[in-house]
Amino acid sequence: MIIGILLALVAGAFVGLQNIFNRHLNEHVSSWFATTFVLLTGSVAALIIGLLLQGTKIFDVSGMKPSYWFFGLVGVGVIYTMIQAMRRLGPTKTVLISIIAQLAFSLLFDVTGFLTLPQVDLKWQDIVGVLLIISGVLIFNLKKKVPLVRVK
Amino acid sequence: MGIILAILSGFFIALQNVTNATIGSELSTWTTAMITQAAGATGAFIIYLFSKKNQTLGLNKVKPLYLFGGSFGAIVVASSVIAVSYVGATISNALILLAQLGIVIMIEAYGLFDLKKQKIAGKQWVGLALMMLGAIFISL
Repeated sequence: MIIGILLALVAGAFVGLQNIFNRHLNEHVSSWFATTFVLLTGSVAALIIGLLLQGTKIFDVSGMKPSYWFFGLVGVGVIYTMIQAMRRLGPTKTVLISIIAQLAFSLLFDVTGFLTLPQVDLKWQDIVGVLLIISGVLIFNLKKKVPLVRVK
Repeated sequence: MGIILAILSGFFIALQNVTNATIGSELSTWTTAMITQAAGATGAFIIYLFSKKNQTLGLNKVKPLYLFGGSFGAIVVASSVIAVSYVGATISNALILLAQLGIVIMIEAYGLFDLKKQKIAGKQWVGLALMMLGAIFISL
């Protein structure tokens, strides 16, 4: 239990670090080259760890469908927009807005059944969560001259 | 513009969760991570070739530490896969979001990793706490 909680926190911390480190790459190389580099090193790291953990099973691509190659392009959007937003807003605001958008779109995908075939009903927790986030954003902006997120 | 980009990044991450789950049902976790990122790198490189290269290759000027951002993905994949096996997807997803926000707030508040120090005022902490609580509720 504790191990699971700790590892989840480690994973989250590394996601945060990764975005900050990637943003620094963009100080010396162009955004598109930075995106290429991040994805390439990520792929090589997955190959190395996959080889260590499961051996040559990592090359088993029998379930591969042509469309999967295009799914990989979604990662380009993730890295590129994250680097660009970080440069403009700084880490805290970027991650804050990105997390809220991520939750909102996931909710939307679930409710509409978009791509995730089984449609999921809106739970009361979701509505409470959205209300909490909106009030959080309002309070976060109270003393700031520049609005963080334009609610409404 | 920055806000739109941040919202877009959230959209792409949500989309990626769906596509990775689809691929993950056919291929192993590591094969999925390797193939999707290799395809992404190819796509990004093609765009790079057509983009205005106003900045020449300056990788040697980047602090070596910052070159490892991409490979952190492997640590993220490994630890979240194990975390899910212990506490389930719901709790691990909520914790991953919390830790992610927590670490960037801390790094920016103390100005670590060459970032400009950005103080967070008293009231803003309350707002952050509410947002985190909201994120937990939605992840449940």
